[in-house]
Amino acid sequence: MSESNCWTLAEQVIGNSDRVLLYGVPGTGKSYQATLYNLEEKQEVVSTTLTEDGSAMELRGHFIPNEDGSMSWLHGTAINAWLKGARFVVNEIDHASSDVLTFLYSILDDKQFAGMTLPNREQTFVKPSKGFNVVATMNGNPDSLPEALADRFPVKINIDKIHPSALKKIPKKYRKACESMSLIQDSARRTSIRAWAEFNRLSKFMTEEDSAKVVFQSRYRDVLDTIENTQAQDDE
Amino acid sequence: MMSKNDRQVQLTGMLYPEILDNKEYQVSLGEQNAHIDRDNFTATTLVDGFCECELKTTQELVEFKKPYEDKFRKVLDTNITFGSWSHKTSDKPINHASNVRKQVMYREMFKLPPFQGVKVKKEYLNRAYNLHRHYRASWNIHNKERKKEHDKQQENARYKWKYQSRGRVSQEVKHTELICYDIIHQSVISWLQMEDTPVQQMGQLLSVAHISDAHNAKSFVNALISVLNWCSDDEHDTTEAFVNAEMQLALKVLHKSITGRWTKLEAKTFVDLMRTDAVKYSIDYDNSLSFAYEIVETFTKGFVKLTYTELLRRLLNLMQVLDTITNYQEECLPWNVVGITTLKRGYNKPIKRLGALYQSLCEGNFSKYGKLQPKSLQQAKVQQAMTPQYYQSKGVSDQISDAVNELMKGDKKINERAGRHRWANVSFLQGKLDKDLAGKLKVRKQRPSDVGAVPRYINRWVTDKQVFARKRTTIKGGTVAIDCSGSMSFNASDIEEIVNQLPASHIVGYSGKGQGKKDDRPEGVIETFAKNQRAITSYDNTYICENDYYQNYVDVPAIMWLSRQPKPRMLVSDMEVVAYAVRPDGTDSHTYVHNKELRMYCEELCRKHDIIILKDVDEAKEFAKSLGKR
Repeated sequence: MSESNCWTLAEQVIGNSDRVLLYGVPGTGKSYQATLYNLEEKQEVVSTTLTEDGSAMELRGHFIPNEDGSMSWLHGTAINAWLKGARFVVNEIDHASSDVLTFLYSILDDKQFAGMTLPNREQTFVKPSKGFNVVATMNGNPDSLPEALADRFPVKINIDKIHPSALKKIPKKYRKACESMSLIQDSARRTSIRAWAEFNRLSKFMTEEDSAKVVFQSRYRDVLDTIENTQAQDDE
Repeated sequence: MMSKNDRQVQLTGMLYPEILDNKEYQVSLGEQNAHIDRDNFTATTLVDGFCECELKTTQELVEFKKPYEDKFRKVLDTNITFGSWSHKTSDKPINHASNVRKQVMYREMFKLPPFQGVKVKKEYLNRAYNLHRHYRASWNIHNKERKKEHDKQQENARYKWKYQSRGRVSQEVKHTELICYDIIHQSVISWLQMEDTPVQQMGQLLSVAHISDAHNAKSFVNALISVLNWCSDDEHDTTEAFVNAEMQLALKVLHKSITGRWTKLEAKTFVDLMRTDAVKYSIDYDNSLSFAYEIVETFTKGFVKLTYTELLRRLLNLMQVLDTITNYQEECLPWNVVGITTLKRGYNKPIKRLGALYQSLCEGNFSKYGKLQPKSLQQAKVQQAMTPQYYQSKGVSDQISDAVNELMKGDKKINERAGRHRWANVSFLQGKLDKDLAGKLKVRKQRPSDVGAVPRYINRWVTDKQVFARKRTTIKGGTVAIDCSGSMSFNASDIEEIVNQLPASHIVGYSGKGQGKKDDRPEGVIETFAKNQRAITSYDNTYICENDYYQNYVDVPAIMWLSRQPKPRMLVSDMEVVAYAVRPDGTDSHTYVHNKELRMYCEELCRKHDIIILKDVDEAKEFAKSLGKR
């Protein structure tokens, strides 16, 4: 997918489609842009990042002690987003534990069928409000997701370019190296755009070599060489 | 010396060809043959751990020498300083693997410009173009942004941002090294083990390297020569025993502990040794004093067991090849030959020459160079001593140059290569052939032999048993064209001697005159001196001599005439060929063309038409004798 396409498509689709999956190498700005594109007026954004150790409780809700000494129910992030009609941004969806995965199947159902009874004293029945939509992000390929979960995202966009706004923050002399080195699938060779942003910040008051050393560690020479190689190229 | 395989390879030193086309590459780690395959999006990188080269910083060098200076200041009671002159130091860490990776990237960044009409293979042109790639990359790094700014500010300004040397660009490129020092040491040592200079092996290594690598190899060879010079220059005694004794003395002094007791003589010897290239080299590259001496000792005492004289011969031969290579590389240094207008096109001619050199070195068979012998000369099986000087093998560097010229030949039309020119209009004249040579040809058509079918000389049975007759297959003859221009400086008796030596030959002389003389005489003449067993009585009576034809201008017409005559064909000429110069509109410019290209063109014509070149009349006489004796 070309540079204009992946982000242009994402911009057109997010907010207009209820369930969108953005996938691709880390550090391209997927999560960040997911919280910005096409929000309705006063629409909230609820974000969560999944890990293998996470539980469905965080998404669904749980009891917490209250001032009376008894327990009261607190909605989890997903239910909150349902009820508020917010944008629910699920980061690292491929890292969901089996517990979370079971809950996600319900949350990501088609809006007209979706609904669940919460396990609180009132046994509240909740349904997604108008405006609710989900943007999930992951590194790697959606083939690694369970079929049922992958099927719940009819729109999948491969983000193979760093978002232009993120790149703009990197000075011109590093930009090409940053872009090339940050989009590599092979994690052993990839650098992250966050590292580049930090490298840029540090190099304003440290030497370029020292900043590269602290940020890129053992690969600092490769980074410096690549920067030099981009400068050595003829202008296109 | 640690071998590459023993080294623990650090997995740093990654290539990022992604910057070339924004596609992801599968990059594998390697220790050799770093390359990028743009078609399959794969690459092999050379990891940093491959290179363990180190050079002292200037400060470290000073500290290394200080204890010696202190010690010998005391012993000799004079102010001793060794200085850092002609030492190789580097204040930056050196990593040749990194330079190789850059080279690999630059090769993809800067494609080889199109070369037309060359016989040199693309791979060698690519190797030759590497130096310019480095220059262009370095220039871009230092100047690209500044040039943009300059162009923006001074759009219509008269002065343009030049592509020639800017700041340290040229120095940076000139000092870029690709080959580790221990590889250079190992290579030179292996080259020295061969009796004949291994030109191909040298070519394979140095054609992928930079000019500074060739200079590094030269420094090493120079250090070894310096050892032999040190050991043999005393009172010009160069006997093996003397050299060996001096060698042992030097080693003893260099190995002696600095804390020991030193005599004044030893100290003086040490101080002198410290100032030699051999010891300086050992300090720089091996952190020792006797590295170069030990290498020489390995060759003379180790399994190779060379005499000092033989080792010196091999070293000097290596140096000759290395000098040739660096000379060609110097011609290609981009800042000398590239201008702003040629930035995109590159600089084809010197690149072609360097590519031709690399191809000649890597693929050439130098036994055939010197000069290619014409077929008839090979078949004549002339003794080595009788081989015309023109075809006798030359020094290595001359042979390499010949090989390069061979490859560059035909690159352009001769009129373009040598400058616009024309040859004289030639008149064929019959000399006064008053002398009858028939008597000289009265030889038996058959000669006795001890093998055959029908006995003819039965009387010989009682003596040498050669009763059969064998027909003579050759008869002294052929065709000879003699360059009668002034540069040949011969006299009438010389010509007559040749005629006498080759009585069955058709012999002509040729010569021309300048354009300035407006008379009815022909511009050039080819005059018969001998034909059909008759010859001129005296050269002084020939048209050429009587009319003062003492210039050239007819070389090619003479060669072309000779090419149509019976073999063996001989051209007696010093090959100082000259043609009339012509203006672009085709009119005569009343000057002349005399250059290497023209000479090479004529030599090529001779080779093509199986014409034997004899450099002067003396050689012609000798050669005629050798033919006559067969």
